[in-house]
Amino acid sequence: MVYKMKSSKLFITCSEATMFSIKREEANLSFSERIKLFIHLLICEFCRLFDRQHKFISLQIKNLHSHETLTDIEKDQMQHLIESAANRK
Amino acid sequence: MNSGKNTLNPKLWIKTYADQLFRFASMRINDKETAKDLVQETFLSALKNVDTFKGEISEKNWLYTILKNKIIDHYRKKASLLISQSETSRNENEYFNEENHWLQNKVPQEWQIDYNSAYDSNEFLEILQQCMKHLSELLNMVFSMKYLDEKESDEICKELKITTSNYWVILHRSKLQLRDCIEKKWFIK
Repeated sequence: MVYKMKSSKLFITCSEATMFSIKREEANLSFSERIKLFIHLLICEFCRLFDRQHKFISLQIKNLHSHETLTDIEKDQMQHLIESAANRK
Repeated sequence: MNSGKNTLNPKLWIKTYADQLFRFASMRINDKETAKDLVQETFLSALKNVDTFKGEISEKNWLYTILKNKIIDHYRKKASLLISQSETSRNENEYFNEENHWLQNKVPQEWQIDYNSAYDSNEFLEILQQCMKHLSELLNMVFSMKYLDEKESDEICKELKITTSNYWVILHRSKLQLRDCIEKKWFIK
């Protein structure tokens, strides 16, 4: 009952709109949800910014790479461990 | 041309692969020690299973497959625990007021960049990485699986044994938190 009320209204909140923005990334919105998001983004500049920025973040994540390395001591310890495990075999 | 089958050379594993496997793990796991342990376990279980290696894939891919499974196992063990700690329930109220509109200090600011361009900034990536480390373990898990491993939502739900609605709540929260963190670190200095 509550759910029905919620799904029938045309105007959604910012909390719902940001959720819809994220779901849209996976093409997970129904037609009526897409319409509701569209209307909300027309009237709400903050959610419009969120929409652009979160997509931007998703794209940027693909450029991430780590530069972390293990120390020589850590690698030596690992080497010993592997060798002793190999010898036990 | 390499016509022969792939072979294993365990003596050189650490030297050749330890750092790259560690980087792979540490991108996906907040805690450095845990990442290191998983890499070590990968080598040990690879060693135990050398007989099962058929040479159909390269040594490197084989080790990566083992590490990926270790990471998933680790995630799965953590996930049920973290979900039961009801981390997902204290959700968006940090960002929205009672009417579910943006709280004043959380309102998104204009970043003054072209969001559609292939924006290239090491400073931004640095901050993005730092902010990802600030995500709680559960958020970081789901986030890494989606954005680093590019998995679909149903696959992630199945692997972590979480519900679809939990999944979306987690993702929603991660994105809100990450966006806010980046903005505060990068734009408002």
